[in-house]
Amino acid sequence: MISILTSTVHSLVLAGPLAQPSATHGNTNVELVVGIFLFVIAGFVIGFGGLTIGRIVRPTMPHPEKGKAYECGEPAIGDSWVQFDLRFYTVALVFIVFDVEVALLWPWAVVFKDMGAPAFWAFIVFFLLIAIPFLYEWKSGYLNWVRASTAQKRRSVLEEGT
Amino acid sequence: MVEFLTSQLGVSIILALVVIGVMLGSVAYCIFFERKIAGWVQDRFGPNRVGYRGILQSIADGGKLLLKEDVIPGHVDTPLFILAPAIIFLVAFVGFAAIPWGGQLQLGENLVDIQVAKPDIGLLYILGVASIGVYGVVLGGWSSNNKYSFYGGIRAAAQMLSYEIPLGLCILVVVLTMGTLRLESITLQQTEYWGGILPMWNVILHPLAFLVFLITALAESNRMPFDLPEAEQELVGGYHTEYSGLKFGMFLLAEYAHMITASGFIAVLFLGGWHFPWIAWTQPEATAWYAVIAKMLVLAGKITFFIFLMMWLRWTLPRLRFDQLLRLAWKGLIPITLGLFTLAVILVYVGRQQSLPWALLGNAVVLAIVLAAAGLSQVEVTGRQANLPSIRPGPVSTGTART
Amino acid sequence: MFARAKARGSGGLSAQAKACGSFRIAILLVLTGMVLLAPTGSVAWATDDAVTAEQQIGVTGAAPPGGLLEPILFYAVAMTTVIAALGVCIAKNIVRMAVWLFIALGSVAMLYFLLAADFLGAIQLIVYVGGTLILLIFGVMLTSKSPWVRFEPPKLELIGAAVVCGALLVALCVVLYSAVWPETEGVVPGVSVADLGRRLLTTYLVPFEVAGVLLMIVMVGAAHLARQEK
Repeated sequence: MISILTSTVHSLVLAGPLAQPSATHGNTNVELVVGIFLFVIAGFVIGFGGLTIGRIVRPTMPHPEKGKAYECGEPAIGDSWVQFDLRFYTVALVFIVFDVEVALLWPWAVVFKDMGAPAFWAFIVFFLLIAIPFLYEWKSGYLNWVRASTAQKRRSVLEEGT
Repeated sequence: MVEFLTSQLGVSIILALVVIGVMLGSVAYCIFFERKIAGWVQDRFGPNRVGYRGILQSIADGGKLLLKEDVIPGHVDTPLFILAPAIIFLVAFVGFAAIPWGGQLQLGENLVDIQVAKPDIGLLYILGVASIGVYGVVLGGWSSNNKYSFYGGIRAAAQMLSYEIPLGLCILVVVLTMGTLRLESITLQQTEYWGGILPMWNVILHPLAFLVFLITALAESNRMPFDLPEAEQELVGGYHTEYSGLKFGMFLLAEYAHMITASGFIAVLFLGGWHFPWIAWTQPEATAWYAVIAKMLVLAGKITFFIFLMMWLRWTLPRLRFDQLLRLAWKGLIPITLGLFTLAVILVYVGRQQSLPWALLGNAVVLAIVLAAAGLSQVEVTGRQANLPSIRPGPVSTGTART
Repeated sequence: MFARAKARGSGGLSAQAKACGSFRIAILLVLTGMVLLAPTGSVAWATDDAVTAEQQIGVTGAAPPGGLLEPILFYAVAMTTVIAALGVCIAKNIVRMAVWLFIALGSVAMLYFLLAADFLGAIQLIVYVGGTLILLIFGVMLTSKSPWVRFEPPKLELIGAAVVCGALLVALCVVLYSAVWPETEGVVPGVSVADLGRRLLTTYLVPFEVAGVLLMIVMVGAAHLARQEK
């Protein structure tokens, strides 16, 4: 184990100085990851540094009322981690389908200019496979946000009957 | 050391630090301008007390947020409650890594890019980072354990997901035309001219796609008229109801940082990035330091224009209702962008993707089809949904309704 | 009714959970060891190769491209991935698990970027981090009726999980150490998006269209799910 660690350090040190000319990089994206790291670290430093400075200078006057949920002055009943509406989930599900579809289309879009007819027909098939169910969902009313609940439908049927 | 500083990596690191600094400053001043523009739209002065004409207002605001008590209520999920503003803040900044700020710079023998990184898929990178932005809002809403916050967070998630599809399709139109996912190549291709005069900006080629992109960008950064996640009249403060002090300030700063990212993205995709036509300094051949500064200023000007537009819209337009918002995305923007996408496919297929008359004709046809379809089918994009059963308040008779 | 488990943190952990914790720490150590070991070999090979590459193509600098920076970045990202993945296992609250998963998936995307698989990294961000995980969080929020859904698996399941994980670990180690790592000269250019698109439309055309069919099924399924709403 120790020999492995020393060999790691050894190879890392031997791996050369920090500054290698970028011409040899190819596209290993070191700049991108360095950039992401810098932005993330800077964001954390600014955010948590600010919070730390704030902790020193700001007042702390805890009060039981301050620790309660804000519900416009009413005491909150229960907490908010409840089951929510299924419609949000449906939106996310349909979104995923489109997201994956568009993700598959990116490489296609880049080469379409050069590929011509085969790419065109491959795309048409792919596109119809998505467009038809989308139209089906539209026609069936699943894209409507406001939907009649069963009770409302029943009542409207009753009203029509009488 | 000098060798390192003039290499691409060194320039990238320096540029990243500069960008972080400049963005923090401009984000703080965005808030000041927002208030000034609000004052201007509403025929009042806006902040004008701190410093000359209120110019120090942002610093005073920051100081105030720093000095305010930072309440973490007892009912929240504390780690996530702290993490959420950090995530939303970080995500807004990470996207800057792939934006081409000013073409290329001649440094000694090296020709370096004024761009932190230029991956093969710069465009997808920004899109991917933007799609992460949902987490800050959802986690902020969830961890607050407040019904207003929770509903605001869920709304924000549904809204951002819905508008990401037309956003992606609009970008596909650009990618089809340009045939590349590299942001610097997209900028370079827009520096050509039609007939030697008109710059080949995508906004001229695809005006409809540009408009839809602008709308979706507004929705993605939760700006008016799409600021339902924090609609004061319904949800108090939305996902940041329970936040106070500097954490609230971070949500606020992140919103403006998102605006800057979105504006930069629009400027690069549709308005030629750092390119300004007819001026030698902003052409891709110019690589001296003053040319790079000129290019950066041009890009900054374009970004400022879009930020001003977003603020102007915020203080002019009323907010949409949630069902209208989703209907606009699913039944308005997605069909339109699918049409524009088909148009782009056809244009590329017949080899006319860079031809201005064909593109404009195609845009007109798509617009006509959309308007005709909307008129014939009477699908209301906004307004009240047509096929709702009448809901009449009457005697409660659910027990007998089962017959 | 709203008896949220107040005992958060270590105070409320049962003895079983503590034992479980030490088991997880053991896994952490093993995984860390793997992460440290695996690239060490390749780095050593890379420097060995550099000597031959120098002789073959006359490269003057014997160092791999990126120098010290690239390994440092790799280790940082890899450690983040491992820690976040462990967080997914250790976290008892389901939304916190999702947050750990978010960090893990994000750092895997960074690993892809470092490996010059740009497109894969971006798609990882867009589809997995920005899409699937949101769906997962929605699913959690949709199904969880009690706020603090906690996972306290019974002992039998823990043993089963340990066996499966151990088998996987052994298998991975065997694969890692028996694999022949291809020797390269200099930097191998990554696959560009254009290459990817060309292959998607020629060699992999059938899977491409099958993916379309799959997406269609998901779309119809989503409609069916919406239908079941009252």
